[in-house]
Amino acid sequence: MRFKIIYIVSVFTYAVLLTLTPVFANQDFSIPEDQLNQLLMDIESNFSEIKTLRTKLKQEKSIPIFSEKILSKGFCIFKSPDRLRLEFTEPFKSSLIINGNQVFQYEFFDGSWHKLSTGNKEILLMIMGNITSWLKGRFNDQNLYKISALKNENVTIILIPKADEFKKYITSFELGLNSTLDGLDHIIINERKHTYTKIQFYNDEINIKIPDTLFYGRKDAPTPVLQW
Amino acid sequence: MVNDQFDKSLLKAAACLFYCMVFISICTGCSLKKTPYQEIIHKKQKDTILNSINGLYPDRFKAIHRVILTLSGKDYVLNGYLSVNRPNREFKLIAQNDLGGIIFDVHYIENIEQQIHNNLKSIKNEWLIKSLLRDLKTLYLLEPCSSDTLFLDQQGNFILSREQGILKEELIFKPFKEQPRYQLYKIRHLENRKLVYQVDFEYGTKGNILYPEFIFIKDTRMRYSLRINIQYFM
Repeated sequence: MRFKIIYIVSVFTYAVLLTLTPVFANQDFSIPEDQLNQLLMDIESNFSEIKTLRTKLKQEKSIPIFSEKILSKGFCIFKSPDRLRLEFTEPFKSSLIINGNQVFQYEFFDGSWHKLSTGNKEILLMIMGNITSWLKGRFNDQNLYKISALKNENVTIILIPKADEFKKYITSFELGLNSTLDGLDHIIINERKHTYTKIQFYNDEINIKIPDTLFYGRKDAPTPVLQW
Repeated sequence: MVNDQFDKSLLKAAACLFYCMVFISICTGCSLKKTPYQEIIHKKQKDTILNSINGLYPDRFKAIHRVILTLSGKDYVLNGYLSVNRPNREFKLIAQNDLGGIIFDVHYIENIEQQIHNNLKSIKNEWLIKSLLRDLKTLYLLEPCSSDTLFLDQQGNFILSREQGILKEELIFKPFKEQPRYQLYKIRHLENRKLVYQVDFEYGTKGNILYPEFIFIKDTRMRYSLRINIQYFM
């Protein structure tokens, strides 16, 4: 009988602990709303110091039909206010350049670069516009996203799209900040069906001289970038 | 008077020569247009060619397609994450942008399943079935068929031909480095003898075995073309 009572109490305690752990975990890490606005203002102020940025990136994709992670490499160059170049170097070479409201897209095949006649400019401008805003520390677009933040080792901003049309593609963005809250460490793009894309930034250089020519839409190939 | 007669005979001769030249050119043209295919009835030869369809890919594999779709003069770039199970006559494909965002996904099992989830309003499911599903079936679920007719052309290529009504499908094989193996390098669909669809293969090495590394598809009826660069996971 005594053994039975101990057994029931243990199972009950275990069940209660299991139920409450995630609640406490969330409470521990999520930043309360009254502190969130101040945090976002501080971050935007810190990020506003960034006039130019160049950073290498590693992209990791998790797709349900692949057991292995799919890896790509590349780099990103940003020049405030509205110039962005995103280039993948492995396994396929491609370059996407935004210069104001102009989009230039290149693909490398048959041993040389080819300029494309981009068909989905509006979508690309929207995606790249989002990235440019985040690189400037502007996360708080309440028309587009429901915003929250977590503080574990570092701060992570979580953006959940509001529009149903947008939710079809992306369920949430996780923007991981560096320890000094003045730059992005990574972006995670969560999608339906356990699919996500994580972009990790490394070897970043802030406020170095970046020539405008890197964002020109040259006829034959994107302006070459000296690797760092 | 004599001069007049001479002029007339000269004109007649010139006209005659002209008609002869036209006749010869037409005949020559005709003979060039007709490709003299020689039918191969030899069973062993035909079996070797049919087997090379089976040997084109492993039974099960995964691959990433880097695709440039050209439609109405505009280019759209996407990544296709593909899983193929040939004995099960099945494939799954997830198409994404570079940075993520599923454009559409497909699950197909022959005669059992045909699921398409499409997030793009500008592309209709019906268009995806006619183009994408047909392309993937043509590339990865090709089946050898003993009733196909085998021909040899003047360049030494083997042509496996199958007809369904007005549609004629041709699979063109090149001999592989003087070995008794053959490599599929072109697929043609002809409708009333007019080329409506063509696939070209360029091979690359993966683990010392040759697989199609670049594939070019041109559909003249649906007015699109695809340039596909493939990375295999085997």
